[in-house]
Amino acid sequence: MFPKKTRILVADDAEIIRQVIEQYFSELGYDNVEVVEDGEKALERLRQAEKDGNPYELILSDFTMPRMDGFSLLKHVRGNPAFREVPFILLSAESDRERVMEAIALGVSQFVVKPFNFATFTEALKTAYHRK
Amino acid sequence: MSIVLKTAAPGLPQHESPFITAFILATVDTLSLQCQTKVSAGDPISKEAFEESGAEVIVIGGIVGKGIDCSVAFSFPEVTCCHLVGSMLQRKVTLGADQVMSAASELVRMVGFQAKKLLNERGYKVEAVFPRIVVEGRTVQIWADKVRDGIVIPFATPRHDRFYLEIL
Repeated sequence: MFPKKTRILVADDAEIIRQVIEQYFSELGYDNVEVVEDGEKALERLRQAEKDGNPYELILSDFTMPRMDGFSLLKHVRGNPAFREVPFILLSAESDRERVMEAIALGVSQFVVKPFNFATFTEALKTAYHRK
Repeated sequence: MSIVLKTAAPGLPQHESPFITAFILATVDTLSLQCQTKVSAGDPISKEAFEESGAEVIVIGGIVGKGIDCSVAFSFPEVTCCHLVGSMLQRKVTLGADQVMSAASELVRMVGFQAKKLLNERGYKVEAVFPRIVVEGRTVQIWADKVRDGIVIPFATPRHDRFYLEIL
């Protein structure tokens, strides 16, 4: 499992989901979690963190978000040598096979279908960690 | 306040039980997983026979596909929303109106996509779900054109909070 001090970035436009994810991380003992509402803000944070020499070590992103969606964010992340290796978990309410396959092709670490519970969330973290 | 839903041409399979079942299962599954709340569905009733739900938050969407073109609306009393969100976060919550609407909208989005998945597994060809409109008010009612009959499915939580799904 990811070390407790792992720096985590969460992007989701739904406030309730951001709160749920923060709650789950808190229950697991992670307190270095930051949340943003869209992919564009996530990308800004990632770039800034890299510049500051304090990069994020895990990204969780919703698929459907305004301005920049989770797929575009994933493409940016995997296309940038600075954060190419950062584990990336994609959350989506839609689980069409094509969507999952495309995410895998883009290098997603784990795909979590909403709705999800604490057990599913924890399992996704474990799998993403082992795939590092 | 009254909301008018313009239902489109006939072709809605809302009276086919797999269609209704998919929405019931999607609702039960979503709330069970995301809110740790086991809700139970009552018997579907016709929209015509349905009396006011006492809803304060209504989330309206659409579902479109081959031979499918209908509106779906979830109506919640605000207290039900607060309890469901509190269950999601595992703590008692006091929500502002924006947060209630945002949470209700997100839950309904999950239900919609779950229903789409279940329906497509049963041979339907659902192409798109929603977009959603969230309405808040004190005496909100949904009114549908009489082009075809609507169906209302009542749900109850273990605390006996009620909410309703209308397929129109």
